[in-house]
Amino acid sequence: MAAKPGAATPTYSPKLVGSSRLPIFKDSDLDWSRPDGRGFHQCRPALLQTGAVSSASGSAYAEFGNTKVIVSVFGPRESKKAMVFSDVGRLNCNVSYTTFASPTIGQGTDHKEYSSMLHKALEGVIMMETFPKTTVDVFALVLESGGSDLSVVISCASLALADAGIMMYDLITAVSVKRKDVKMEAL
Amino acid sequence: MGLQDSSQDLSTEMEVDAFRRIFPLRFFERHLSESLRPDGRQLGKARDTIVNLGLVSTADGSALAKIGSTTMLAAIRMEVMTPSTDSPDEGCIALEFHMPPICSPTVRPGRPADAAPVISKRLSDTILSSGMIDLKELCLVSGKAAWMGYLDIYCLDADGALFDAALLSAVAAFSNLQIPVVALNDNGRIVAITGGKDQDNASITEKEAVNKEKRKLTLKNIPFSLTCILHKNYILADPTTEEESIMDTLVTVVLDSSDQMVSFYKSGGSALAYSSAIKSCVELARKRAKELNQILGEMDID
Repeated sequence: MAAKPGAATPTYSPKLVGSSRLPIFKDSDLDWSRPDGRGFHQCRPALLQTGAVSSASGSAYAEFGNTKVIVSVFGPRESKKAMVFSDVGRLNCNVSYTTFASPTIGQGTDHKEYSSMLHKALEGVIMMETFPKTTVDVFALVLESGGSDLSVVISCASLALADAGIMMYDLITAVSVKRKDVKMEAL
Repeated sequence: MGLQDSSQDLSTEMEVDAFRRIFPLRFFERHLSESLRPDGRQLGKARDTIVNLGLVSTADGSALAKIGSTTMLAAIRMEVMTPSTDSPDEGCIALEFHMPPICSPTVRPGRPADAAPVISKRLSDTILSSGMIDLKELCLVSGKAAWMGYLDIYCLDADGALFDAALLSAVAAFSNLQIPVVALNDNGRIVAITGGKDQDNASITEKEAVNKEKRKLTLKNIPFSLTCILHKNYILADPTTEEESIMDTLVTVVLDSSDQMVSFYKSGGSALAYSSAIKSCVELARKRAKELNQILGEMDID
């Protein structure tokens, strides 16, 4: 009766009509501060917590301002696909977004490349030879996207791996930097 | 017979964790005979339940429900649609239940979990048939514009009783929902009244807010559910994933706040549901509905 499929009925959000974004950069004023009052090289206050998901081997929750991310680590566990014997372990990463992560409905910008970027960031630091023949799965879910998503995901993932007891050379962290004209600021 | 004896002998020598993994059914039955479960709960008792509202800033209504370790995050976003010609005064609710790979070791990315579409459909049916939401309240301009509510429920941690937690989070999200104030534009489109600096004050005074009084939905007949496991002559309320994996007969009873039964669901399983078992399940569900009603009532005060 009422649960009609959304694809058949096009809908629009009333908020986007006629909204204009205020300009952040005022070129004439060199001393402007960022909208949330931070200095150029200042990061947002962070909340990092392990043990967010009880079903996972290790997990972490990170909140950097409005960016909220949960990362779960499963493993080392059996590789599902029939793999050729390998004497090093394998790493499998996946980053996904909730439908309400971005202010606009639907996917917002496409972030399919984040999974492989997370993989590249982690594969250098995990000691793969400590879990041969098995796979470690790192899954991230971005609950709310408030900017610098990939950096928060990477930092949270390394914390989740530590919580899972996977051997690593070090904990890794990440930060996004944006360059605007001459000045550099940390996001 | 021989196997039973050997496991009994081993049980005195083996570590508890090993026994739990190798002989899970015997481990549980040892506890059930003392009317207890491994986590110390009574058979008919549900786990600690927590509900938090308004966590997602990008959504119009949201809630996080935790039953024990099972965690569900529900968020509602309202968009405007053109109502269909056979129900011009009614809006619509589109519900979807997601199980992302973080929630459970059994879910793989790219392959949706087996349980997800089942729970999605059951939730959708339960919420719509309970009569909790009057779709006519979602109407803006008859025949031209109505609200479409996109309710997305994400399972963040799957530890049994997924349907119960999901239903609770959905109901809590609806109670938290704040419908944005909108007005009808000159072009016939609905626009949000943000009020203040970046909008023309003159144009606002002309447009009457279409729904100034209707900011919150009235929820009547709120459904509450309880999932139970039937095993031999035991009934276990609110199972964990471990319990669900060993004992396969699950029964879900959904009652509303006036103790009417909204739905009864049993999908196979090796135990048969005799009328005495059904009555006990309904009785347990009744108690649980009262508990949940109280928890939601405490939330609504702010």
